[in-house]
Formats: sequence, C-alpha cells, structure tokens
Amino acid sequence: MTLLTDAEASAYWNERHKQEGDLRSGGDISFDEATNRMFYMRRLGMLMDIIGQQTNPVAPLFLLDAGCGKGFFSRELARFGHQVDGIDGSEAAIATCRDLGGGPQYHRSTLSGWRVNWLYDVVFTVDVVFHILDDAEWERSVRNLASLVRLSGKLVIGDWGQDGDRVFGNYQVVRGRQRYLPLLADCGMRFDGWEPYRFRRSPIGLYTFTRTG
Amino acid sequence: MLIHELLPLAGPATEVVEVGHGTLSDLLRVPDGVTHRRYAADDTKPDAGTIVVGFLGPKPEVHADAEALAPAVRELPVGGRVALLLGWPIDELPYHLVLSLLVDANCQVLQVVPLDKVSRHGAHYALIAARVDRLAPLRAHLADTPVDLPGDEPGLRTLLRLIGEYAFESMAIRSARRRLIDMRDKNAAQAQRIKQLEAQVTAGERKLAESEERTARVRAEVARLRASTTYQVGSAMIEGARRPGRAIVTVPAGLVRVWRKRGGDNG
Repeated sequence: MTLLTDAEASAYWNERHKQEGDLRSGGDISFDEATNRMFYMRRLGMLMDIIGQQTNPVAPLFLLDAGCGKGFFSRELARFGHQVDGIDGSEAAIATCRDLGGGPQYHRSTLSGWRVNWLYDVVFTVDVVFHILDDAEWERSVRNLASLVRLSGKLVIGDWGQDGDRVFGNYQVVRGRQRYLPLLADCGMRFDGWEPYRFRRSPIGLYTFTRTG
Repeated sequence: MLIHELLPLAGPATEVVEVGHGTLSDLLRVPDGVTHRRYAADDTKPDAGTIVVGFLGPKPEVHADAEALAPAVRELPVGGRVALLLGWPIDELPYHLVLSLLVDANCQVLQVVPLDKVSRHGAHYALIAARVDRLAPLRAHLADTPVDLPGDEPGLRTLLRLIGEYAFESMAIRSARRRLIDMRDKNAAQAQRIKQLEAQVTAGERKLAESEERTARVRAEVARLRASTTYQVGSAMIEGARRPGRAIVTVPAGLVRVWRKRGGDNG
C-alpha cells in the first residue's frame, strides 16, 4: 500500500479533526468515543507517572504537548497546575483547542517547525510521530523536540517499543528502538525506559528520555 | 511541595541540626530515631548523616540569620546536607546571601523547591544542598525522588550543556527582567495618575456638594419669601393690576385669603 504524502496526511488529519468526536478524532479510530476516553485516561496516568506528582502555581513546570490534537492532554495537565504549550499542524484541531480554552497556549505548528525562546521541563508527543510518514521529517521532528528539553528535563514519545519498523495502513509507520535510542543518545538524552500502554492489545507505549548533556 | 516532604527529599538522615530558634522539629516532622538538636559551635561534630536545617528570612524575631548558618554548614563533612526554609517571596529572595555561604562551604545546591501553604508557616521556598567533593547528579525542577549523591557525576557534555543553558537563559531572563521593570514603572505611573484622578473627583464632589448646599439654601429662602404676607399681598395686587376687569373680585378674595392665613408669618 502506498503511504500518504505529507500534504495528503495533513489534509487527512485536518478533515478527521473536523468530522470525528473530541477524542476519537485524535485517538484510536477503531475505538468508539467511550473507549477512547478510557484510552486517554490510561495514557494521562502514565504521563503523570513520568512528569511527577508535584505542582506549584508560582514556579510551575513548563510542558510541550507536541501534536496536541484537540488538546485533551494539554487541558488535563494544565488543570494539574502545569504551564502547557500545545502545538498541532491541524488548523481545525487548534481552533477547537482555542474554543475550549482551559489554560494552555495553542499554536499551529509542525513538530519539526516549532520555535520558542524557552526550554521545557517535559516535551511529550503521544501517538503522533508514527503518523509522520517521511523518515527525514520524522528525524527532524524528533531532533527538534529533543532540542527543546532543558537539562534534567524529559522527552516522552509514544511509539512502538520493539526493534524494527512496521507500516500499518497508509498513514502509520511505527519505528523501533533501533531508531530512537541512537538518535536520542546523539542528542544528549539518556534512555530511561519504554512502558507499554497495556490497553486492548495496543503494541504502542511511551519512551522516556532524560537530558543529561 | 509540603514542608514535611523536605527531609525525605534531602535523603537518609541520622541527625538534624537546627540553626536558629529550635522550633522546626514539628514543622519538618523529624522522624523517630533521628535526633534533633540546636547547633552549638562546641557540640559534637556532624557526620555524613547530618542535615543542617534553618529558617532564613527577613524577620529576625522569627528567622535565623544567614551568617549564623555559616559555621554549621562549614563543619559538614562530604555527604552532609543542608535543608533551608526561605521566608522571602521568590521575587524578593536575596539568594546571594545563601549562595555565597554554600559555595564557600563546598556545598552544591541540589534543588530549590517552592512550598505549599505559605500562609500557614511563612516559608515560600526551601533549598536542598549537600557538601560534595565532586559534582552530584543534577535534579529536575519539582523532582521528588530522594537526593542521590553517589549517582552519575555530570560529565563534560552535561557541564557544556549547563553553561550553554545558563548563557541563553541569562539573556532571556535579562529581557524578561527588563520588561518586568518597565511594567512596574508603568504600573507606578498609572497608580500615580489614578491617585490624581481620584483627588480631582473628590474635589469635584466637594464643589458639587457645596453648590447643592447653596442651591438648597436659596430655594429655602425663596420658599420663605413666597410664603410671606408681603409677597402674597403684592402678588394679589399685581394680579389685580394685570387683569383689571377681574380685580374687583380677585384682589379682595386674595387679601381675605392672606388675612385668614395670618399668624405665624411676620413678613
């Protein structure tokens, strides 16, 4: 099966964010909205474990939700007291985020194109990078996200935890450890682990890296 | 973070040595089995299980003085730690006092921790530091795992990154600080302008009240004049002069009305 081009994938996601419900649009299209809510809650709990259980309104953590979709994680983490930036390439998704508000700052941007003059305590991208079909763009995206993490900060990436790449349909390319570990070691990130979602036979999980150099 | 989470954050302890008024045991919830004493120069020397604690701040009656802390910190051996409560808000924190003191004693600042429930105890921030003979691992903001001094020593790449981040963040902070100063200046100017406008409004209100009072006095005087016999006789006569045809009726009737109302009016 031929993979979508960047332009086709971009149009696909914008249309999907217009057509589908709040969670299904950016979640797992094979699940209904209620199951997606469970799936989102599971992943939110995993993010909490990684980000930590401390919060402070005066000196908050600064987080980047890269590929925020309609902003579920951004809003929930903002409710925990964190200062969140959400970016997404879909105009429709960002418009919904801004309508819903809730504290985060939203910007329309690709993962490789996001520029800012502050570093983040945690940069996370949940089930987004395997939708970047072009390998070069995927690498630019991962490198850019890593560059935004401050010393001792964390980079969290949702993807396939095994070695080897795999293609699902015409709009998903999961990439394995053999891609992430050397690439991010080169970026000064220490590999802390990969934790599977353990949700309905999903093969995906969260990589966690810490910046040490 | 809550105050009682601080000692566990600073790592395992056998002894807590307090510099200051000796009142922090309950606040920090010093665990059973860990001794708590006030610092005295000629007391037992601290060991690697010692945590020096103190509450520094702007109020001498409540807070310890930074200089009083220095001897206790200097006595710490490698592995000994410092946990300080800081009674200044972050934008007023004179951290140079603490930073110099710690660096002079070969202590590494491991974490500066914002505290919850400030109104209850007055401590805005806490600082965790340790006496080191090599660099301890760096810690993330709001990290709550206990301090691990023997962990991986930061290497050259980490130090290069640290220095680079310091350089860029320093530049960004200068810009933000400059904007903050501008905003404070603007706020002060606006506050001054608001005061001037309030004074003008008050003066205007005072003038208005005086005018209203004068108007009321004049109205009362007019009413008194209109009620006077002289005015009413005059009015009856003028009405008669205006309409001579009816004067033969209206003038006597008006005078009778005035005569009937006579009594309290001397006008």
